[in-house]
Amino acid sequence: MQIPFDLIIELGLIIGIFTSAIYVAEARPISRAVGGFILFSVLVAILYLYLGAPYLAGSQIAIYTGAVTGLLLLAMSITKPELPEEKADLKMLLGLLGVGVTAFIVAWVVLYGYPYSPGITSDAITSVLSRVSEVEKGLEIALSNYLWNYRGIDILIQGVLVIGIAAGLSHFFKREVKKE
Amino acid sequence: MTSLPIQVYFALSISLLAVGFYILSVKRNILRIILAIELMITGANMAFVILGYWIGNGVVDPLIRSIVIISMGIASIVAALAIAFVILIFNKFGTRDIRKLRKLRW
Amino acid sequence: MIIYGEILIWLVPVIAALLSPIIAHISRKLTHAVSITSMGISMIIAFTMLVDLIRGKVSYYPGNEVLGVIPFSRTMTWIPLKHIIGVDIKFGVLFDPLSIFMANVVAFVSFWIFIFSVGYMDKEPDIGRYWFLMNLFVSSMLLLVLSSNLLEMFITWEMVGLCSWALISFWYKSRAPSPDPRFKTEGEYNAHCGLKALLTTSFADAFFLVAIAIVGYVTMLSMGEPTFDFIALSENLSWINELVRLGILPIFSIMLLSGPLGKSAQFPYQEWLPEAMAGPTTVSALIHAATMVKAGAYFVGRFYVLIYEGVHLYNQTLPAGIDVFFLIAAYIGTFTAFLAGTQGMVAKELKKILAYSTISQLGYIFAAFGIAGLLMYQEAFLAGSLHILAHAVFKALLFLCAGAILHTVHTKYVYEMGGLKKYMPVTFYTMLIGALSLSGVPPFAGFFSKDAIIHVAFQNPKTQVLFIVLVITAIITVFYSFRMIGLVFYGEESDHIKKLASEHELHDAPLVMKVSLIALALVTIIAGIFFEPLQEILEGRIIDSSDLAASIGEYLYHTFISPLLPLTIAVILIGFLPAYYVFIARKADPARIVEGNIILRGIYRFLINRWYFNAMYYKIIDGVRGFSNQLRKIQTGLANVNILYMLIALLTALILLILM
Repeated sequence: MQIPFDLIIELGLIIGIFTSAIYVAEARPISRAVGGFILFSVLVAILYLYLGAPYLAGSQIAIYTGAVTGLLLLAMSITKPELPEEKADLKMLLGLLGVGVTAFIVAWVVLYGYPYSPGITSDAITSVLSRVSEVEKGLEIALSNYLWNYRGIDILIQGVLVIGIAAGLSHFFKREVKKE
Repeated sequence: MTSLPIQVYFALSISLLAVGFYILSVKRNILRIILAIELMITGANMAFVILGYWIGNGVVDPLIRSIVIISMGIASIVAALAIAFVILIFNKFGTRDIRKLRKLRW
Repeated sequence: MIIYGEILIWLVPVIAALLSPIIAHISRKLTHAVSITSMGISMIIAFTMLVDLIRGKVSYYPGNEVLGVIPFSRTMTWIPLKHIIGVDIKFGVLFDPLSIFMANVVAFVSFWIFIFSVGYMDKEPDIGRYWFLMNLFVSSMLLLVLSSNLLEMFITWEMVGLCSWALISFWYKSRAPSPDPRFKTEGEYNAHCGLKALLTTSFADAFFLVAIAIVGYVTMLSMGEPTFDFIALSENLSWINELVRLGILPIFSIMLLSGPLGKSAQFPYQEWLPEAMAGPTTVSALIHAATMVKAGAYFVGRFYVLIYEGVHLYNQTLPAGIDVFFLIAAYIGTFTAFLAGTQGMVAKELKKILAYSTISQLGYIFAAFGIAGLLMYQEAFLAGSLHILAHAVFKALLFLCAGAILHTVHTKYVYEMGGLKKYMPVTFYTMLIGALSLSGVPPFAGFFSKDAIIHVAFQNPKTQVLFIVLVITAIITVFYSFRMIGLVFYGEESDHIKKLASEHELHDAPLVMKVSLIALALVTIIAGIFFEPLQEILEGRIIDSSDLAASIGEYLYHTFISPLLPLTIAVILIGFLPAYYVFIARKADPARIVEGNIILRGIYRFLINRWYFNAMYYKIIDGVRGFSNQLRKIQTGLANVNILYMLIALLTALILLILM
């Protein structure tokens, strides 16, 4: 029997991503959570690479492990004191339970569908995606229709003007009465 | 083609969203909340990539790649803004605990 | 009408409104000049419209292009929603005797109030904000009276409400001690008053909006597509029959009337207007004379014209049952006239006396329009419309006089005034003219219109009850007018006045204020003569200038020969003599008379507490606030908890999705 390397790598990545996400949630102090976030981003990047999207992987590494983490560390160093982290209490358990239940239902709905939708089966996806270009064209027409025939652009310009005028006027009205 | 069914990856992205939600609803450290937002965005991106992989038959569809890259850029901007807010809030109120920020209530 | 006059008439004040905050940074005088010029342009355009009305057809002056024969409307599609809600929202101007007449009243009175403002607001630092809101206020009112459909009218209706809110609470920063013990500073009190006005009228307008939606629905049923256009509604009255068929006509009438009642401060919404005195006096004058409260009366008149023209111009049969609308209007108007008049008898603040008299006089207008619609009686409609004009002029005059007095004596309580006659002669004589007109003394403008209203109520056996109440209210009106004059101008000088006089602080109004006072007083004196041609204009007849003098003479003759003239004189005497005895000649101390008699004391307490309506409304509001305070505990302000709420909503939606 051949060893299913692909399967092992994928499973390992998935479990790793999930675990590191949990670690971000629970690690304390917060600097460790940032470390967990770096690990998480790297794992996601590897997943993207594995799925054949090298540019995405590069961006993921650059943006998340680079920029965001750097900024986070900066913020941590500027805002000094470490908070006493909360202990697990009833409220947290309730939150966890609520989130878990919701996620389960979301997953159920997305994967297996609800009475009016079949859920994500391969047939559904292919049929949806085959219609994508058509829908896009329709959307484009609808958008231009809205913008030009139904004066959407007028409304946008009006909105910008009104906001500008409001800002200007509020500046003018800001003048305080001189205190005696 | 991946050896695992596509549903597993969807489950992963949903679970990332769930973890983000969990952090948002119970944790009080602002930095961790920013991390949670990033986790959630990554989850959403992942769903996109999986879909793109599915239509692209082994390569992620270019349109979806560009969408995901835009999404990542926006996520980084959101994070940068949020961190700027954190610093401002810290200067003004001297705290990183969002439970102490109750000004939105009147 | 000058070219594009129907647009310029309201656009020029809007432009002035937008410019004035900017110009206020450059020069105060320039700001005044811009606003007054814009209002003057509006007034001239309104006047050219009146000329067109007299000729019976509207045309642009350069070029003589004839636009149409009155009544008609010029509309353009504003928001094309044909595919979505079945009707395009139109934007247009209605050329119609009533609308052009109202536009003239509004523009003319506002113009003089604007001139007065130059003197009154001379020390105001926030002059840009003041002119911005005033210009916007007047332009929205002009657009309101000229609007060609219900939706457009509703939008301007709300703009008027919004501007009134901002203007009533204009001095929200004032740190002076509050006149009401519930608030810390006067600024807070002013803000509260503005909000009270906004909330009351908006509450009333909610029903009004529902009624407008019902109009759309029933016109869709009866004509095939929803329409809000006044002329279209008038051309085909079958939508009222549709309302009758659905059995919702009474409730529809109440809802449709709710908006005008709220705007015009009629019962049960009368409580906001006395508090609206918190703003600058020019604002009060504008609200009372020209813009805000006249909107409600205008709508009732407009609705009457809609029905009347449908019957007489477009040959529809009069739909049965629509008189319930006018019945309610007439009875509520009469009742409010009495209610507010009695409260005016005991009010302690100068501007509040005038405020109650406004509510009372608007009650007269509502009663006139109500009688007009009840009996399809054109005389009553003309009387009501002319009372709008007469009231606008003399009430603006009275308020501006009050402004001149407050500007000088720095107190608003009438008991702290007295003996001002020799210090402020011009103000005294102009205010006296205003008060005479208000009490309906011949030959002032108020006499003709009020007499006409009482006359039409007298003529019909159905409205005898209204007639009796209106006459009693007329007596009360005379009493409180002269009580006000006596307390302010006659009698002993109070300590406050003596102190001011010793400091040489007392002086008559400055020239710019005097100009507008005298102009309005002159109009009050001579307006009565022009009521006859105005009646013809309002009826849509083309005036024949050759026998104008004869017809005016005939009108005056008929007015003075009317069987009610002895009654009018009796009313004036009955009201005037006690007021003269107590407040002008000061032969008796009013406080002692009231204290000595247990019945009078009870009545006094009942009236000074405003029939306990105000307290009752505050009780209700407090109940609502208590509930809201309980409810707002849900909102903790914690981001975590908000996320949990989001989660709950998501969960609910998902469960619904699965169970469906």
